[in-house]
Amino acid sequence: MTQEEIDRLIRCPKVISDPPRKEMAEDRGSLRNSMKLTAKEGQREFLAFMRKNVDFSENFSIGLDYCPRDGRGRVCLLRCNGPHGEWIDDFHDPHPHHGYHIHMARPENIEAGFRAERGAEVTKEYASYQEALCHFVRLCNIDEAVKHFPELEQLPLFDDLEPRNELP
Amino acid sequence: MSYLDLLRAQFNNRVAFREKRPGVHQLIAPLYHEDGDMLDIFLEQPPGGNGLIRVCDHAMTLMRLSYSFELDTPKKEQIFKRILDENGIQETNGNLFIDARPESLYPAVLQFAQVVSKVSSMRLFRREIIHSLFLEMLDEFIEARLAQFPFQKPYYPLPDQEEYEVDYCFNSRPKPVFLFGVNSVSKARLVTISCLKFQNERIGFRSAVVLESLDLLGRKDQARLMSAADKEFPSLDDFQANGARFLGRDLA
Repeated sequence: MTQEEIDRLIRCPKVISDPPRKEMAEDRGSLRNSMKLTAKEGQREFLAFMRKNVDFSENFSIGLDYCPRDGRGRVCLLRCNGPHGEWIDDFHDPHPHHGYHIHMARPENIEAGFRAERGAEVTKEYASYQEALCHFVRLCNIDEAVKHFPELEQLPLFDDLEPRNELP
Repeated sequence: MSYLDLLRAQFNNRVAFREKRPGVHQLIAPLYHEDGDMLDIFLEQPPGGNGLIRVCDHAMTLMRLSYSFELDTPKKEQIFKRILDENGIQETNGNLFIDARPESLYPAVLQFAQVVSKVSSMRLFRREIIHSLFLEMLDEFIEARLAQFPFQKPYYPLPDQEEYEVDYCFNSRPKPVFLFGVNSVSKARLVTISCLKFQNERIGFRSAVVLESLDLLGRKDQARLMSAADKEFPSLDDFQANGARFLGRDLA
């Protein structure tokens, strides 16, 4: 996959083909939800998952997997994480970071046989699970998400801020 | 000396701690998942204390595993439990933990980190990976154990129509045996179509199918496949046990 293909898969307009539960379900210490998405054009399929740790609510992850139909196996394109702990980009020259961060698939990772989403970047786009969900839905261009996530309808605190939806 | 100071000293001062909640300390150590995220390991007093320290993950390992893999079958649970039992780790409501004396915290933490990695690697048992292993194992068996029956792989019975492909053609007799490995619904349908096509074209053959497992196909796909194919082995184990006898009988 090239970087353009990865970006296109993340950004392409999507519809919710199998909606999430109304409430996250608790299962073995974490709250869980998921939904299936289909690209509006081209019939590509995706899975979005949402997880939040019961003990530490700041430990969350909202991710987008691409599910190719040829059985190659799912690829994680994007994962918006809370500040669960530290992370590094380079195992050989580790400089740990801490805070809200986003994992994103990179072509060099796929080519090298690493996890596609290895490494991450600090983000200031969100500072809570709800804000992360909002950012995720905007980034992935998910149609009518507010129908299933009413919390997305909450007005921003500051009206004069432009919504930011650039890929990190 | 607190147990944290003791553990820091045991690690030669190469680790740190961050207080996640009162009394719950997160270990900051160079132990990472494949995506670069640090292993989630916490230290705290267990209920009842008894002078022990609990090394645990507060259900983070299973939460992370659930991004791409669910423990939703008895077999998966069995494997998960086996990993824990063989490594002396316990689990309560998703929280993996081991209780250790302060002076044994260093080996306990390393043991725990290994288990976190092993459990996290269960995602490699995902269906698409298991599916591809089935075809490899079928191929290995045929190459190693059925070499007395000459075969071609793959085989195309219809000239210029390579869309109708046979996985293995055992052709030591005028009426060959076409063998197919079926590990998905789409493959089952393709095999059904191919067998019917060959019958339509009046090709002389016998067909045999080796299923990855009986619960792979829904009722209708199963019925269509059974109607089109002459013989169905419900699993690789069954084919390994009876395949040679079947081919010997059919090709005699």
